[in-house]
Amino acid sequence: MNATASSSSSCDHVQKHVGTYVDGELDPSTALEFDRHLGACDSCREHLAFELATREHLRDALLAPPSRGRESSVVAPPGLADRVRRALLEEDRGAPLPERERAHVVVPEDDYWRPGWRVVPAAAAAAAVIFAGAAMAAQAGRPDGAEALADVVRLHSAALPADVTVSERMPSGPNVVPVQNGFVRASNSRDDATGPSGAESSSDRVAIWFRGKVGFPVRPAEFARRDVRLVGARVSNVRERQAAALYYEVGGHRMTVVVTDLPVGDSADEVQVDGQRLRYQELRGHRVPVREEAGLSYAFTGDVDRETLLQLAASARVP
Amino acid sequence: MGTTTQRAEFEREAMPYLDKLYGAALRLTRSESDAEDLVQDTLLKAYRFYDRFEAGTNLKAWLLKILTNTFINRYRRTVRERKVFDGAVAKPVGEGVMSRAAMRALTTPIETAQQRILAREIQKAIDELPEDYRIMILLADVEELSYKEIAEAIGCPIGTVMSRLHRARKTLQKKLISQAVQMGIVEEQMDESPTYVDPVSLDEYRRRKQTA
Repeated sequence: MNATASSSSSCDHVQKHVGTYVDGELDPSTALEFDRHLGACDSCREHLAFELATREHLRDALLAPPSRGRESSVVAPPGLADRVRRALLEEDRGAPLPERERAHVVVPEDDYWRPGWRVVPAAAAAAAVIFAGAAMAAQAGRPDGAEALADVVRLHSAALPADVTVSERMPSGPNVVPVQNGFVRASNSRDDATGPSGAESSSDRVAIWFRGKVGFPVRPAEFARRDVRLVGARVSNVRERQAAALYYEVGGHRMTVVVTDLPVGDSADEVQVDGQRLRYQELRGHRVPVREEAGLSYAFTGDVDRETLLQLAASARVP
Repeated sequence: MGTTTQRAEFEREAMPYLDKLYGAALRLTRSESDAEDLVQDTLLKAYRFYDRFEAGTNLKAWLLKILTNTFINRYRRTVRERKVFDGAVAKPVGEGVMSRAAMRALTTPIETAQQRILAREIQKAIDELPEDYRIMILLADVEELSYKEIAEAIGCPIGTVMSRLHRARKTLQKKLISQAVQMGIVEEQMDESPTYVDPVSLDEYRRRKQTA
């Protein structure tokens, strides 16, 4: 690398950059100066030896935890390879979307690197749920509120693919695009519309789509603010119970609302926002307000500021 | 991508790194379930962008880059992380003078029992580092990525990698020395002992790094 060499490789200089030297990142001529200096300087050689030794200690500590044998290192859990192969298989099945539909699938630009926000077959999503469920059941302790809220945060962070996406750019207004067996079935034909005008809201359609998929009726929360948009949903889990994850966009940021019949807010603080009673907890840097209505919990989390999130949770229309 | 053959080829090349990726993910996330998710997301992304991987270059490093990038993108936006990434970093770490005795004590082999205690203390010291120091140390010294690879994974200039890594190591070394003193590995009055240093096996270190 470009650690600038002073004209004379003084001890200070060598000792300061000895780490870069060990990394092999000094430019060749500087590295040569270091070679010469170290060959003649006991004190600097001690620094070099120390640099090497600390790295060895570090690797020993982190690669082979002291509780295990010196030779052992971390091994992936048994189910992970299968889970990955399955995800790759489903990726292939879901990948070739027809160009016309692709234009209507919402993929936020800044989420280029994120997983999720991509349409994959419902089968893939179901498989992921089964695996996630199994993993959770395996490590589930008492299903108390805090653990359930941790699942909510995880659901948001993981940004798993939507089972169903919403597009508002199609000719006949809001549409829900369920994905089955690798084919996008764009439901924008008049035949699919069940309302008298043929113009159901996206919430209606998502609610219909959820029928029979989770053990309780799911109706997406609705918001008065115009910059909040329902973009998709998936069947998911909180603890070992089925839940609905609803994906929204708020002024270009992601927000996830998880609907569950578990009392996820039980261990959280109670707060009043704009006259509305909410439960509220911060978890792993995420803020999670929870609305409790009619025996269901609506847990909100997202990449928006605290105040916005609380206001959205308080003002949301939930059944 | 999209055919069975392409997928089979990807799996043949990438899956042997599953344990390594999981280990790296576990060290970064410090949570088994998050680590599993991170590995799956990483391999899915790698598969989507496999056509951008240059055959013949280091696949493990490429996968680790994607893994790190995914990790950072996912967690960086939270307030806690933002604080760590923008704030604590600037705190200067003095070069200071390393006690020769302490350096020498940690350079010479120590007995197994002490090794274990030291390992536990190192783990603790790493956990206490500011998040981006911790990431630097993990990527450079444990995963052994090059500065260029780290810069690409994190999305910062190579010079930033070098300076952050320098500060991160100095912070860690200081913690290590003070712990060694507490543990009694280092006797503080050793400074006048003869200056004998074990032959430094830098070549061996680098050879291992090459083949890692």
